[in-house]
Amino acid sequence: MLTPDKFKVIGYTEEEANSICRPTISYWQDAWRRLRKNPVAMASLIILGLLVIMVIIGPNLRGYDYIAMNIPDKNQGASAKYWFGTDNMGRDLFSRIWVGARASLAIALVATMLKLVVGTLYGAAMAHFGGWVDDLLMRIIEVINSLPSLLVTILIMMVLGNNLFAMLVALSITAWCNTARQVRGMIKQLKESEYVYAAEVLGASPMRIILKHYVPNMISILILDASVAIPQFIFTEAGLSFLGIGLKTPAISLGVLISLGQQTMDFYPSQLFYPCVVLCVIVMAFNLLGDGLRNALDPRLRQ
Amino acid sequence: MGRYIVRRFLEMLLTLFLIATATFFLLEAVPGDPLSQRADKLPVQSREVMYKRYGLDKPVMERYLITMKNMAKGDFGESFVYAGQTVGGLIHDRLPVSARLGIQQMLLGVTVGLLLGILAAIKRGTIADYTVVAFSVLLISIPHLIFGLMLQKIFAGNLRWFPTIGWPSGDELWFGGWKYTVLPTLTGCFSYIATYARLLKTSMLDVVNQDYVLTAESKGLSRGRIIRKHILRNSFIPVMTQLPMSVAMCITGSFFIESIFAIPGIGQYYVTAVNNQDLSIVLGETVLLALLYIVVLFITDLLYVVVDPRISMPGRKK
Amino acid sequence: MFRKKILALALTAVMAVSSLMVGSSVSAAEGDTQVLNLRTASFGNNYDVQDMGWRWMMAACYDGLYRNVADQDGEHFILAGAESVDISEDGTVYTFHLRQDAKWSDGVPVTAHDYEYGWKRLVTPEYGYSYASFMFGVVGAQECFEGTGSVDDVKAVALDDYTFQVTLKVADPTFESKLVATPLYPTRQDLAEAAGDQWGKDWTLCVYNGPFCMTELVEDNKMVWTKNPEYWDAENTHLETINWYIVGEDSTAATMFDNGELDILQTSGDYVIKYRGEADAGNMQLVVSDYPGTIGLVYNSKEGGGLSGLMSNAKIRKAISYCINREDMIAGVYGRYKPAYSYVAPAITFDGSSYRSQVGEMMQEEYNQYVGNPEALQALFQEGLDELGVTTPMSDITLTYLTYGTSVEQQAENEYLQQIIQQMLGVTVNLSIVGDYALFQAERDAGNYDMFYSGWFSDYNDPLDFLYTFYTNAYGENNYGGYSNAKYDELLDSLTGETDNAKRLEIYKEAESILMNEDCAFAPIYYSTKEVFLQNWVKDFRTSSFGASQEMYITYIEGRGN
Repeated sequence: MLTPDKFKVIGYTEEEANSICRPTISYWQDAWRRLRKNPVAMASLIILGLLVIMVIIGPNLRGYDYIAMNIPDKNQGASAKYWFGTDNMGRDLFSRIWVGARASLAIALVATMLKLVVGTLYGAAMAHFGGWVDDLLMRIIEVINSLPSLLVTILIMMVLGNNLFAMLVALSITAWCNTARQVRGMIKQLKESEYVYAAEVLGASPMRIILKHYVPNMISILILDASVAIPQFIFTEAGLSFLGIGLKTPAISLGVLISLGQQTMDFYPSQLFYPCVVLCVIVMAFNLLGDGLRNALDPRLRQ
Repeated sequence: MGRYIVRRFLEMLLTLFLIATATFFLLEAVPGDPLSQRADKLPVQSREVMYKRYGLDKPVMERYLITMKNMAKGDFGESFVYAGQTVGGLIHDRLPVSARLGIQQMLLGVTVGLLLGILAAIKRGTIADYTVVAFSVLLISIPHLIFGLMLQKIFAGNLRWFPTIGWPSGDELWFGGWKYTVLPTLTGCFSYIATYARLLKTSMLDVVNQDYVLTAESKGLSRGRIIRKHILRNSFIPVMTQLPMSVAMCITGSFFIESIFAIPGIGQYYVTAVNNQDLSIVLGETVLLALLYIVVLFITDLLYVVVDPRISMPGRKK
Repeated sequence: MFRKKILALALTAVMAVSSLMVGSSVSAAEGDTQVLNLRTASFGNNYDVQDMGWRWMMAACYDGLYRNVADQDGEHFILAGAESVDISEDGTVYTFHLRQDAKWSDGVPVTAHDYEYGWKRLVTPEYGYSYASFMFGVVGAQECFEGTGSVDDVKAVALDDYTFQVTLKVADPTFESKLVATPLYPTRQDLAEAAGDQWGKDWTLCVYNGPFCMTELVEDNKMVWTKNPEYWDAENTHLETINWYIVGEDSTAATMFDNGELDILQTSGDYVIKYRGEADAGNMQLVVSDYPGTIGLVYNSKEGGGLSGLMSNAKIRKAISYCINREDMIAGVYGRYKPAYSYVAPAITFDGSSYRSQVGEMMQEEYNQYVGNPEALQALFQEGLDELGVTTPMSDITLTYLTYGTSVEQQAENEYLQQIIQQMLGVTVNLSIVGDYALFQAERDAGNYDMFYSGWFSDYNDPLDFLYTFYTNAYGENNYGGYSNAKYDELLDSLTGETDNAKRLEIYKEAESILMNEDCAFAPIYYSTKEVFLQNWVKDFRTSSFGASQEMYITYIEGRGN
C-alpha cells in the first residue's frame, strides 16, 4: 500500500533542473556510436581495412615479379609455390591480383573524389545563383544525362588515348551530374528550412550556419554518394576492360584480370575465379558499409 | 497543364538538338573516320573516290550543317560502314528484339527484386536480409559476359535444356520462341533484381519509422495490414518513379548479352557503330535513346503527381 | 507446333526428291540431312561481288572463271566458269571459252556479257571499288579508273555470248592467279542497273551463279544458304542447306561444336590445343593449311628514323629483330603458326611449288648467330649507334612499339616483345597500345612509333603481292613504315612483261634478300596457318586461301545419324 507518508520533498535547485544528464554528443559521435553497434557494417569496415593493407603489401608478399614473364611456369593451378596459380605468361596470380586491386581501388577513389568535388561545386553554384544560371546549368546536366554514358566514355577514351588520365575523365564526366543534383536540392531545401532561418534570426554568423548546418547535411549526402559510387566505378572500369578500352598492358586492374581470365575460363578457371572473388569482396564490403553508414547518418532512422 | 506540356516539348527539342551537336563533334574529335580502315590499303585515287562517294571530303562545318538539316527531316542517312543499313531499318528490325529482351528481363527482375526487397525489409537484420543483400551484390559483381557464358555452358551445353544461341524472328518476334529467350533473360535480370530489392528495402525502412505507422501500430492493427495498407503503399513511390527510367533503359539492349547469344538487337550494333565511328548510325541511335529518356523523364514527372498527392503540378502556383 | 510439323514434312519431301535427283553419286548419304552448320564472326554486309574482294565466305555462292581450292595437291585453281582458255603467243591476250550450261539462280544463262559488265564495272571510277587495281594490267583499265580514259576502251570484251577476251598491256604471269578473286566475277547488268544504289546492299536483289543461294539473313544472328538448283554442277553439290551463325565468343562456339550444333569450327588459343588433342584421338578431323599471311614488326623507315631517331640504321633494326626467339615466342604465346624468317609466306606457290621451298629462309643464317646471345645483340646494336654517331648509353634508349588489340593473345604478344627486347638489349621499350584501328592508323600516320605490329595477307597467289607492299608509296606514303629503296623498286619494275619464270624467281629472290638481309625492313615473326576442325561426318570439305574462305561445293554429310 502506498501512503503519503512514504513520500518526502527533497527540494530542487535551479542548476539541477537545467542540467543535462545525458552527455552531449555531436552528430558525428552519434553516427559513429550507431555504426559501431552495426556488426555487419563494422565487419565490412574491417574487411576494407584488410583489403587496403593487402593492396599495399600484397604484391610484394610472395616476392615474385608480377610483370616479367616466366613462360615455363605458365597457366599453373594453385600450389604452395603460387597460391593462386599463374597466368598465361607464368606470373604469380596472387601478386597480380593485389596489383590489379590497387589500380582498381585507386581509380575508383580518384574518380569518386572528382565526382564529389565537381558535383558539389556545380550543385552549389546552381543553388546559389538560381534563376537563369540554374536553368542553363540544369540544361547541361540534362544533355549529359541523356547521352548514353557508354558513348561518352568510349569517345573520350578514343580522343584522349588509352591512359589513366583519360580513364578518370571518362569515368567521372557523366557521374558528377547526380551529385550536383543532390547538392542543389539539399542546399535549396536548407535555405528555406525553419532551423536555418531560426539560426539566422538568432544572429548566427554565415560561417556558423555553413559549418553547423550545411556541412553536416552535405557530408552525410556525400559520404553516401561515395559509398555507392566507389563500387560502381570499380564495375565500370571492369566493364571497360571487357570492351578493350581499359588500362593498357602491362598495367593491370581487376577488370583487366577478369577480362583476360574470361577468355581462358574453360581451361584455367582459377585465372577468372580469384580476381572475381576479390572484386566481389571489395564491392560487397563497400555496399554493406554504405548501408550501415546510411542508417547511422540518417537521424530519422535513429532507434 | 497545356502550357506546361508545350514548354516541356520545346525544351525537349532544344535538348535533342544539343545532344545531336555534342555527338557529332565528339565523333569528329576522334582521330580517323568511318572509312579509314577500308581506305587504308587503297591506292590514293580509289581513296578519293570513296571519300567523295560518302560525302566525307567536305569540311566539318559543312557536313555538320548537312547532317543537321537532314536530321530535322528525320533522315539520318545510311551507315558508312555497313552498306544499306539505315536508322529507320534499325528501329524497324532491331529495336523490337532489344525491347522484348529488355522487357522480359525487367518484368522478371523487378518482380523478383520487389519480393526480395519486401522480404529483406520485413526480416530486417536477420539472415534472410543479409542473404538477399549478399545475393544481389554477388550477382551484379559477376560481369554479364561471364555470367552469360556460364549459363550457356551449363544449360545449353551440358544439360541441353535451351538452345545455345539464337533469337525468335518473324511471327515469333514478340511472342513465342520462348526457349531462345530464357538464358538471355536470366543473364540480364539480375541487375534489376539488385536495384529493386535495394530500392524497396530502403524505402520501406524509411516508411517504417514514420509516425503514421506508429499510430497504426498503437491502434492495434495487424502486422500484415500495416505492411499492406501503410508501408507498402507509401514505399512504392520511389519504385514507381524509378520504373519508367528502367523501361527507357531496358530497350537499349546490352552489348554482351546480345553478342553471346547472337541476338540481333541494337546494343551490340551501337557499340560497333561507335567503334567504327559510323556517324549516321551513332547519331540516329543516340537521338533515339535520348528522346526516349526525355519522354520518360516527362512521364515520370507526371507520375509523381499521380502517385504522390503531396507534390503539385510544376508550374502551377501555390 | 502444327505448322512446324507440316513444314518439317514438306522439307523431308523436298529432301527425298532431291536425294533422288542426286542419285547414286553419294554412296551412304541416305539418312543424313545434308545440312552444314558453320560459325563466323561477322557477315560483312556486302553483296556486290566486285566489292567483296577478299577471301570472303560469300564468294562460295558465286562462280568466276576459275575456282581456287586447297586439297591434297595444295593450293591451286580449277576451271569453273571457263571451260577452256587460249593464251596468245606473247602472253597478252586471254580468250576464255565459257561453259554454256552455266546459269544464274533465276534461270538466265551466264554469258560473256556478264563478265564484261562485271569487269568494266570494277574500273568505273564512280563506284570506287577497292580492288580496281586487280585489273590495272588490262589495256585501258587504269586509264578508265583514273578518269583519263573511257570504259569503252577497256579491253575486256565479250566476243560472243560464250567467249570472253581480255587483252593485257604486257604479258603478266600473275594475271591468272587473280582470276579466282571475286572482283573479277561476272555481274548481271540488268539487275545491277535496276537496283541502282541498292546493288550490293539489299541481298534480296541478288542472283547467284555458284553452288548456293542466300535465302535468309538475320543480321547479327544467322545467314542461310540453300542449294542452287540452277548451278551447272548441281549434280555434284550435295549440301541442301548451309547455316552460318554469328558466334562472337570462342567459348560459345566450343559449346556448340561439342554439342554437334556446329559441324565446322575455326577457333583460337587454348581451344585449338584442346581440339587438336581430340582430332588426334580420332574424335574429329583437323584440316591444317598454310595461310598466305606473314606477321611481324615494321620499322619506322621515314626520315628521322622514328621517335627514337635510331630506326634508320639497318644494324639496329637487325638487333631488334634477332632478339625475338621465334620458336619460343610461338610456343609461348600462340600455340600455333610457323616461325617466320622471311617475308613471303610458304602458302604462296610459284611455278607449281611453294616459293619458300625454292628460295629458302632468308634471314635464318644470320639470325642463328645472334639469337639468345645478348652480348652479340648488344654489340650489334652498339655498332649501329656508332654508325649513327649516337653517344647515348643503351640503357637510356627508349623504343616505342605501336600496336592495338586486347585479347589474351595480343596482350601476351605485346608483353613478350616488350620484355624480350628489353632483356636482350637493355633498352626500354614503351608499349603504345591504342584502342582500335582508326587510332592505330592516326598514330602511325603521325609517325609516333619506332616499330609497329603488322602483317600482310596476300590477295593472290604470287610472291609479287607480298613484295609489292614495300614498293615506294605502294599504298599511299604511310603504309609499311614508309620504306623506300630505289634498287628494290627498280627490281620490281624489271618484272613488268617478264615471262620467264626462272628470271622472275631470281628477281623475287634478290628483292626479298634486300628486304630481309640488307635492309631488314621488316622483322617477320610468324607465318599464318589455318586450322579447321571438322566433325567426323563432314566429308570433302575444302579450304581456300584466295577464293572463298570455305569451299563446300562438293562437301557432304555422312554418318551424322539424323
